[in-house]
Amino acid sequence: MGAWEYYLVVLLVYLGTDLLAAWGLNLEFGVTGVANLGYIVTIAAGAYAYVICTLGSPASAGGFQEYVGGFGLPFPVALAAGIVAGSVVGVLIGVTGLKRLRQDYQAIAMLVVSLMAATVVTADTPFLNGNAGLVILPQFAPLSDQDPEVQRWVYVGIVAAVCVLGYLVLRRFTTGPIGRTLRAVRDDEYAAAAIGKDIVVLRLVVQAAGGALGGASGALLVAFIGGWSPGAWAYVETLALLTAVIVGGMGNDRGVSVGTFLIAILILQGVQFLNDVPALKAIEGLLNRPALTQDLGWIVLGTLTILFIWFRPQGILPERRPKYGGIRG
Amino acid sequence: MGSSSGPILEVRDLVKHYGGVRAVDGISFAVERGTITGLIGPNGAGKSTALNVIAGFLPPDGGRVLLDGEDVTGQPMHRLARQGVVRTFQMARVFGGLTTIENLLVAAPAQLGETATGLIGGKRLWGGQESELIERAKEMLTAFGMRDKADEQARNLSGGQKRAVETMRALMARPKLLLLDEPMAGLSPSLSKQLEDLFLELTHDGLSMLLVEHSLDTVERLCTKVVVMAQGKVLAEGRMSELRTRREVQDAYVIG
Repeated sequence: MGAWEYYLVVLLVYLGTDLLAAWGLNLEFGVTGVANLGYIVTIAAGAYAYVICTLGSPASAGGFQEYVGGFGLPFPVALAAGIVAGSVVGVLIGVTGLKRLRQDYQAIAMLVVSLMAATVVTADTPFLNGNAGLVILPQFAPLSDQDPEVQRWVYVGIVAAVCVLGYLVLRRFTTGPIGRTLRAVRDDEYAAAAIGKDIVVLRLVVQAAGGALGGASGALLVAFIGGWSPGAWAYVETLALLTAVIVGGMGNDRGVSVGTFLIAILILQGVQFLNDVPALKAIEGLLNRPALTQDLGWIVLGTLTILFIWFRPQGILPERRPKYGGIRG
Repeated sequence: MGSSSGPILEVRDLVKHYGGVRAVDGISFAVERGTITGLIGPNGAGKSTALNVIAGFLPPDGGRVLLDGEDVTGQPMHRLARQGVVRTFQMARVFGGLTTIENLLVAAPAQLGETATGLIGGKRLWGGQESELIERAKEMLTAFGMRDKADEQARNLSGGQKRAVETMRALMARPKLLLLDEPMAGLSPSLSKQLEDLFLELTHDGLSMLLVEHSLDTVERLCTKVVVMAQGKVLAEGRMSELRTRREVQDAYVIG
């Protein structure tokens, strides 16, 4: 497998896992109006759950990393565990922001949950090996007896299959009567309550579904990259997903998919190639900022978010509603 | 179920204060089945606050609210709505991202597509119910002269149209008691007249209403009974024609 072919595999796995995560965040934020700035924690929960389910007991692995659990379970079970973990954590985050909290306070409460979770995992080393994070070897445990090249492409297939399944589940929530009801909750929760909608139950169901998508994303990602640490799920990662949702088109599943491709692949991966531009290299040296091109990705993201909120708040593909025929007769 | 002979709504010694201000100061009245009761009074009399407490939008600080003889005091708005108490707001609230017709559809009670089985089963399960709802919503839009706005996003409607959407939405929820906060404000005179006729027609079908309204002529035409509020208290109660002659009502509420 050549370097470029391997890079393509990496991009496809990233795209798949980012799509799952962005869909989940769009369901919560774009469709239901829950500004979950702690969304990355559901992804982290999925990843950690996957890791501790796949690994054997800490002692059996040589004791070089500490963690709870260690069940030595096969890939499909560990993936399911990741999905469940993401879902549970999604509900827990949701509870913090549920009660009569204005959306901006809700967003901050959830951001705080994200920071707290990272702090706890970092500080409590026996829990999930703290700042050093956890490593799983070998990767792709289910296919370890096969040629690595085949394994990688099989894995792309697995990610694609989960994406298709995830998209079908997502569409069940974003279309039809329930999709309409969730958007009503987003537009005016009091008016929605006045026609009998139970806001709390609806939001928690959405947090569970969105969290499940996040959990799937985290589990699939960690199974591929083979390690997970607090650095991988800093709160800013939620902002990258949020940019994908806003730029793509809040509440529009296809729009958000386009936004994810644009943000996660074209921009965040694209900036890596700026390292090869001699002029930029020179500027980096001149300013003594070796990570300039990396940071450039975040600067572009922030700028895009602001520009879209100002000039095209509906995103690239605006939310579209079904037509029932407005003309008399 | 409670007694079907007594009033549909009974309010007893209801109290609501904001800080030191007693916005609603121990009011009592009843809404009889199949009638429209008016709630009038000068600005700041506490009408909207009373409506908000009755609807479960604000928790009361005292007193009781009985629906069909059953105590529903302090129940949240969505639970009251499911028991048939549906309200509109003083400032019209529409679901701006939804279309006009969707604003109506979303209000229909017991939608299969909102249940777990509906989510799993998909359109096969809820498709039939949905087409019936669409027909009903179209009929209502036609009755309100807004059929051509069906697919318009609700945020683009005019103030009066939004108010009409809110009323239609409340009716789609199949209420037994409607709490209406100035439903005529901002409507064209012809639509107001139409709406009055529609309200009267609905009471013949058994619907009861509590109506907060500024136009006393409207109140006189629609309401069998009128409750006059001033400074958080019930000042008088009776038919509009007799209230107009009462001195204390005239003093509190300069009747035009």
